[in-house]
Amino acid sequence: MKYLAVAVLIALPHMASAEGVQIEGNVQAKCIIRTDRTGVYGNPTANKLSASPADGGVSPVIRFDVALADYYLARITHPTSFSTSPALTDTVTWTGGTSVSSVSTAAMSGYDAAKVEYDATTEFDLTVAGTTWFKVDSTAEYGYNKAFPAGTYRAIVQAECIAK
Amino acid sequence: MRALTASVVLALLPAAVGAHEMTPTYPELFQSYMPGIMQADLSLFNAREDVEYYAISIWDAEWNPVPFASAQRVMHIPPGGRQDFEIYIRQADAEVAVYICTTSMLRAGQQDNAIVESRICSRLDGERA
Repeated sequence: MKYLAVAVLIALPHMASAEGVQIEGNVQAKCIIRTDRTGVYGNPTANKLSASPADGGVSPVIRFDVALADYYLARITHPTSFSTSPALTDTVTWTGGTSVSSVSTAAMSGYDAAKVEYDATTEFDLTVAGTTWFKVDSTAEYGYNKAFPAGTYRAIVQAECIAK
Repeated sequence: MRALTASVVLALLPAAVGAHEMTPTYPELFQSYMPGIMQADLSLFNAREDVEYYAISIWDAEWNPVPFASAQRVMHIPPGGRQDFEIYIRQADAEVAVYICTTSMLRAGQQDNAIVESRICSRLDGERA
């Protein structure tokens, strides 16, 4: 009988701890920027570098995840200069743009129509919670039909998530 | 022409992907242990395999830089790592500071260099109405 009492006393704390285990979590406003695909410049003609698939390139795809609706602006800036290149003696003309390539909910379908463009930047109001994928187009043309010198070319896309 | 094409494509092959996350969206400024200096605490998660360094910056509503102090203005966060950090600003600057941002830093001269620079900005002027 004495042993039974001791065994019950030993088991009691374990029984109590088994009941006390819980998992807590909270959802808060936050933005996550993911680079799903970085990108490749194709070289369809001697004077042109383009990330367009039609020109043999690959467009970068950037994914924005927002946990709560209407807390963030997505701002994406396409390149206007090379971060790495051989010495260039003539001007480079840059064109580009950003568009929505995929969305996680149909309510985001109006993002493209509502986007605001200025300079090389495109701004999207992330009014719906979920995931949006943005595709960036970028083209660089050298001089007046001048051939780009051989070498490595690299340009940077800036993706920003700004709290409203 | 063929040489140029090859070099461009090889140089820009898609690099590793990943994510950049900063919380909270609306950090609270509170009195630090130093008189006249306000403090805010934030956390950054780096899941970008191509980035290890992030720079902290603070801006006003017109995107002018606001002076601040922090233990490290450029943080080394290995991929998969989380870093909690504090920023300190003067009480007078707390009136004008609006955005606190972390920006991925891209290393020059490396073949696996990232070509997407990510920046996340939280607001220091309180949650929107």
